[in-house]
This record gives sequence, structure tokens and C-alpha cells, in this order.
Amino acid sequence: MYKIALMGNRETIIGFKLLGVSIFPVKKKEESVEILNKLVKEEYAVIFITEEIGCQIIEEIEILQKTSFTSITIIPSKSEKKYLGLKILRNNIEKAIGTDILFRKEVE
Amino acid sequence: MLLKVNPNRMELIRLKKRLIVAKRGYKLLKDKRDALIQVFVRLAKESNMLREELEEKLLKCYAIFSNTSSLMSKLALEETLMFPKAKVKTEVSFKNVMSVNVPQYKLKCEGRYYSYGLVDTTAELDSALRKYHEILPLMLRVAELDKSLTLLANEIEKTRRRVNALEYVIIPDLEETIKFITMKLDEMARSNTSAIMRIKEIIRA
Repeated sequence: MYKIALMGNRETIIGFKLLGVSIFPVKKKEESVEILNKLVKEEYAVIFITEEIGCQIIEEIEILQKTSFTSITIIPSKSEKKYLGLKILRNNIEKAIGTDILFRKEVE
Repeated sequence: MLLKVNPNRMELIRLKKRLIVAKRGYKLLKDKRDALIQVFVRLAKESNMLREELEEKLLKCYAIFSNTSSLMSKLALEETLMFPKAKVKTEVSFKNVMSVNVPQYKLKCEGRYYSYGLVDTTAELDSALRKYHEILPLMLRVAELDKSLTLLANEIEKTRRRVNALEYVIIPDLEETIKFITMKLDEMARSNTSAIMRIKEIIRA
């Protein structure tokens, strides 16, 4: 049995606390990288990261997603939509197929 | 490009064997690549759809929760959130898709999440929590798809490189070298025959 973690700014993720998801409020980049690296080594199978933190540590997320057992997923945050999750999806599609054949609509 | 080998019969046999193996590997890897891409496209479409649904639903959840926190005093909310009784865990199993181990998550909830008193909490909190609870399986599914897509994309890239290397480098090289050795051997045989013919003439004269 593995645990589920949630990282992001406090206001966005606090609601999940009563469900029993482990939440890690973070603000700064260095802090989030540190916590993310720690969580990946522990028994977390899924880590959700809110968009505005995810934007800052996207390189680390991509590396860990490729190399570690943990699944790291971007979820939208309360404040603004940045479509980071969709961007990662499109990157993957481009890498696999060569072109972005599925969605032609712009999300930039 | 010609391989650096000695043009003799041993090498020829060895190279012919290698060519057969390379051709078989090429065919298999091409099939693997096609199958992987098929799975990938299916998952990518699903992922795109689910992600849009998730973003929409999550934003709604956030809105409901903001509502709650504005209705309750900050202290009361903090108190309520302090000791969660429920536990969410996930069971991980792996599915083998064309030799890629794709994870599958199953949600396990323990305990009830209404672990607070009814006095200082509002009804909105209950509904917010219910919404959050409903959305968890969807979140897990999206996480599962995200991870699968990353793994599959890597595998597709690797397989495609192998297929290309076989198709454009290894197989042509082998074919060229085999041709070169055959020619060389034939040439040697011819020169041998002509030498013998010459010697025969010398002896007769």
C-alpha cells in the first residue's frame, strides 16, 4: 500500500487534508525541490503538484517522472490556469509520434 | 560503409547469419513500435479528455471550498482540518504493455472523512469534502495516464531509434559487406583458375 501526496500553495491544497492525503504546503522553489526529492524516496506512489509550483520545478519533475517509480502529476491551482499539464502531455506526444497530431487548438 | 572484416568464407557465413538476425529483429521491432504508438495514441486521447474534465471539476471544488472558508472563521477551519481521521492509500499494480510496465492505481479509503463536530462547521464544508472525495479517483486515473504516457513515449523513442539504426545502418552495411566478400572470393577464384591455366601452358611448352 502506498500513500498519496499533494504539494502546492496552502490555500489550494488544504481541502484535501481531511480526506487523508498527505499535504505539503510549499512556497519556494528550493523548498519544493527538496521535499519532492524526499517524497520520491519514501513510499508515495502518486504526488500531485499544483501548477504554479510545478512551473518552477518542471525540469526536476520531468527527470523524476522518467526515472522514479512515483507518478508526478500537475493539477491546476486556484489562482490561474496555465495548462502546464496539457503542455507536458503535448511534449510527450511530440516525442513519441513526431508531431502533435491530436490537439491542434492552441493552449500557449 | 564497409565493415572491417577479412574477406574469407568464414566471415561470409558469419555475416550472412548476422544479416538474417538483423532482418528478423528489424521486423519485430517495427511491429513493436507500431503497437506502442497505437496504445499511446489511445491513452493520449483519453488523458487529454480526462485532464480537461479534472481541471474543470477541481476548479469547481476549489470554489466550493473557498466558499466554506469564507463562511467559517479561520480558527474553526484550522481546527477542523487539524486531525483527519480518514486515510487514503493506493494499491499499485503493473500492466505489461509491449514490455513497458505501466502502473495502475487503485484507491483505498479508510475511515470516514467527516471527522469534525457539527457545531462550528457549516454544511458547505460537508459538500466540499464530498466533492473532493468524488474527484480523487479521477485524479488517480490522470496520474496513472500521465506516468504511462511518459514511460511509453520513452520506450517509443528508444524503439524508433533501434528500428532506424537497423533499417538505415546495420542492414545496408551488412548487405554491402556480404556483396564485397562474395566479389572478392569470386575474384580470387578467377585469378586462381587463370594462374593454373598459365602454369599448365608453361608445363606443356
